[in-house]
Amino acid sequence: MADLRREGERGQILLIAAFTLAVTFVALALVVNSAIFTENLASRGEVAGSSEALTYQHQVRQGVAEAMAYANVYDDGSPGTSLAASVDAIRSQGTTQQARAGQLLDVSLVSTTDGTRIADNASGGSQFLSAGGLQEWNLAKNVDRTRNLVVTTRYGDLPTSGTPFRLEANRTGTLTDIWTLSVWRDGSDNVVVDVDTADGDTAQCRVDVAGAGEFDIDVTGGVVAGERCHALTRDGTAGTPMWFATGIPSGSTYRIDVANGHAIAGNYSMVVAPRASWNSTTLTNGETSGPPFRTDALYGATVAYVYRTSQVTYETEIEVRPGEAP
Amino acid sequence: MTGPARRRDERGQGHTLEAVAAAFLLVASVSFALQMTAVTPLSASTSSQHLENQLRFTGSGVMASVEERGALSRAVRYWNQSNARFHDAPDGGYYTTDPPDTGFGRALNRTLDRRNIAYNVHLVYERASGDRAHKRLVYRGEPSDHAIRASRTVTVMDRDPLIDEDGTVNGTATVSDASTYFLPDADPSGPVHNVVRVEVVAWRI
Amino acid sequence: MTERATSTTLSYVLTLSVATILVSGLIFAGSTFVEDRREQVVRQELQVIGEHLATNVEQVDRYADATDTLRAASLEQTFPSRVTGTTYDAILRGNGGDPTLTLTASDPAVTVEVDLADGVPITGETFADGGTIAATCQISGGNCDRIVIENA
Repeated sequence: MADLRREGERGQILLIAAFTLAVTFVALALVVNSAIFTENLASRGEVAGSSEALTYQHQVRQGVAEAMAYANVYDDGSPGTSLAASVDAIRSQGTTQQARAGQLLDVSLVSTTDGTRIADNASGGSQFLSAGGLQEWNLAKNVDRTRNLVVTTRYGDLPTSGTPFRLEANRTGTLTDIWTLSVWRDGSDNVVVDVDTADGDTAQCRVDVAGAGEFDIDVTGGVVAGERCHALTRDGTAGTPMWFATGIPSGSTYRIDVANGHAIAGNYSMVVAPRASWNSTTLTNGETSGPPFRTDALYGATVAYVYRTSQVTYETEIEVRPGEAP
Repeated sequence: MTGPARRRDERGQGHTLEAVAAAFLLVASVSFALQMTAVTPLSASTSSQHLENQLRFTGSGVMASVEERGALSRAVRYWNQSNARFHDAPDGGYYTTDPPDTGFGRALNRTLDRRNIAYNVHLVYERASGDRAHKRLVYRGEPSDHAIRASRTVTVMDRDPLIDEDGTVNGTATVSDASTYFLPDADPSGPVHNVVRVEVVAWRI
Repeated sequence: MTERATSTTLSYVLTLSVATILVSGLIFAGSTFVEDRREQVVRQELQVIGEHLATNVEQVDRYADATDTLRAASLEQTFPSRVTGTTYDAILRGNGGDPTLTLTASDPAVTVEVDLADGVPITGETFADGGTIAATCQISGGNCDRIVIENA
């Protein structure tokens, strides 16, 4: 009888042990599940739409800059109205497209800054002479910022290295306060762009333009015939800044002068800040009066940008400064 | 005499039952514990989460680099006016095996084709009536489950010129002049022609 | 009656107690094992959630840097409100220039610290419970003064 009782007790203890192990395994199941979920959580990317807010802001800035350049060139009678219409179109189309992707978008024009556009757009190009026919002349005075300075020309219309075309940003007339750009051709299908900054740095870049026909020298953007020119951007391993008007302290104004304007032929265009002034003898007023002319243009704009999804809120005011050298 | 014998039989069956119950409980809990390490989205397969993340970053990287150089706007205007389709596009109007010969097409080829990633490119825009329209630029088939999408928006102005087959700017035809151009003028009174969204859907094959 | 040398009671008690000790040892080891694993998993999960939250905070800082005039910036994400069965909370501290994010679980008591980049504008201490957490910029004069976390 005693033996039987001992066996009975062992059976019950075995059952309790099995029960406890079962509970332990279930608890472990919870833990392993959490570990698997953690791994999944770790592999998730960013919140949906968080980087899209920034890229879309960049695209709005580009679109408005393009619309502004367009308004300055084609609608120079009333560039402000043209820009307002463009921003409206960008807003209504962008809003609809983004709404379909579950994102609320709003773009609106807050304010614009007026400036002056100085250009020569004679078809087929013309020499860079003043309205009175001078070769060395002053384009504008009291300029504190210039944007979108582009020269369009052909290889055959460039001067030789003996009389290079020079464009100067001149503060006081002393050498330490002049930023000079010189352009000539070297006889082997290369255009040479030479820059001397007011800090005393100098650099040169050569770009092959054989067969390119008409090409652009984007002075404020630093691009010559589609290639980045280190003489207009940053030079050498130290990255010395060579941008337009480098070395002229910010806050002070300069004049823009042209030398050897007869040696080159083509078109040019730039937009200067509102404070600039010019001589009525060197520039005509309005595009129809013939090159070179000055006309009212948009210098900058402020656009309000709103981007919202259920998880992201991003509202800013973007300053659009097309073609500004850093 | 029979009393204790009977008790012995009954207890024997009871003990067996307890042992069987204990064994069963243990086996059931072990099998339950083994089943919870099931296939998760991270298991190595053709649809894993890591693959999708990697593809997404590659796709958005390609779009960012293309946008910087203005190549997207040129790709949208690479239109052959006389044939009423993109330059060198086969009969359907969209590219299938080869991408278009523009900066955009070359970037897609360099980044995606060489890594065995197939892609479709869609152009989404609006008509003047407000309806949404969509045109295929490149179509390679139905995307798989782990496909990703990267998109960028491009603004086309009324006087932007078309691009010729060799990549140079067409001196005469502008976007609003060309009667066969696929993109309608969504804002006839303003200078903006249309705002196009270029979507690239990519998946691994 | 019996031929054994030991008494019935003694052997009975011995067997029972040995079996009990063995089983209780098994139970104890099992529960310690589970607790230990649980603490590891909680630590890992808090680390992952902390990294996600830190990324969100730094992304809001990037939003502020990308523009001249900021009017509003915030980013929210829904995290699981419990990790392995326990609740947790997050504290964002400025530490005078070396900002950190501390996550603490209640039971088992686990603390995880995540470092943020030095330039992120965080001052003082802000607090949020596990669940939906939003990182927001407090704006004054078109600039992001301070980034805070709060429950949305």
